Amino acid sequence: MKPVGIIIFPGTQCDQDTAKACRLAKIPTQFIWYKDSFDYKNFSALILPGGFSYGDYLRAGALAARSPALKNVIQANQKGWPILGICNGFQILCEAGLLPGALVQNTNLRFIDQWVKLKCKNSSPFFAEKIKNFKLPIAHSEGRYIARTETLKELQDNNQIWLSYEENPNGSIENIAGILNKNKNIAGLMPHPERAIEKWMGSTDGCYFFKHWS
Amino acid sequence: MNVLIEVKVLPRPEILDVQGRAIMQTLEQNQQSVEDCRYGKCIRLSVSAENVEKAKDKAKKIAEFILYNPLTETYELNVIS
Repeated sequence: MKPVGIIIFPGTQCDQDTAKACRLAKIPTQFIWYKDSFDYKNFSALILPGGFSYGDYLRAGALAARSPALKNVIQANQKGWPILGICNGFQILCEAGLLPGALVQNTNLRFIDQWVKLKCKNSSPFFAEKIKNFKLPIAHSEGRYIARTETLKELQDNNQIWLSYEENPNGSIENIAGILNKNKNIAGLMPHPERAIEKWMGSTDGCYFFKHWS
Repeated sequence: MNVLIEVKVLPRPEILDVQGRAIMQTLEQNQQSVEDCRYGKCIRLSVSAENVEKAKDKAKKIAEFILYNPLTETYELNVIS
């Protein structure tokens, strides 16, 4: 079984938790250092985990989006490989132009760390099946999803709105918590599924997100 | 020659600029109200080029590669020296 590649940037901090979540789903993992080129064909999927790559300098995800490993992520996308971005990973995918829109500072100007109730609006064969209602933790300062009016319409028309908040914590348009690209092989979400994989964590709903690539 | 160029990045007018709004509210609380306040950033580049025009071209390329996000921000270049 090919491993899932987890890309580590300077400042990434959810890599181990993400690997643990994959292991729990019996999926092997391999870490990829952001400076290294890699062959995407050696991996079943790629994950850009959460954290604060480059300390969120310039704009969250902006510097990581232009790092060497991203060139291979772009190649992987051209061949339709499944790519998941969690929190900072979602910000990086938007900055790299692999997902539309941008993630900007929360409306209340604060770092928000709390559990949120979510709805799955549309699913993809590669990512979490359409679970009705679930909860996951969020932890971010720049999680307010924005997009141009025409982009938002495209997202709606193509069923690209993946997850939405039941109660909007950060000012995202249309309560968006996660989106898919047009081909549905790339997904990005602000909540952290890897932080909800054991009962003692408060929820096991995150497990749904790590069992599709074996 | 070395040309010093400042790249000024500001949030687009239609984008809710929460930092600008927070500064404005504090100004109001201190009886120093203003009509508007936008919070941006300034990146100063020292560019080596044959002439100022070429240095500006280089800075423009850099700004568009990484320094601003066209979806949320605008930028302008100013030659300092």
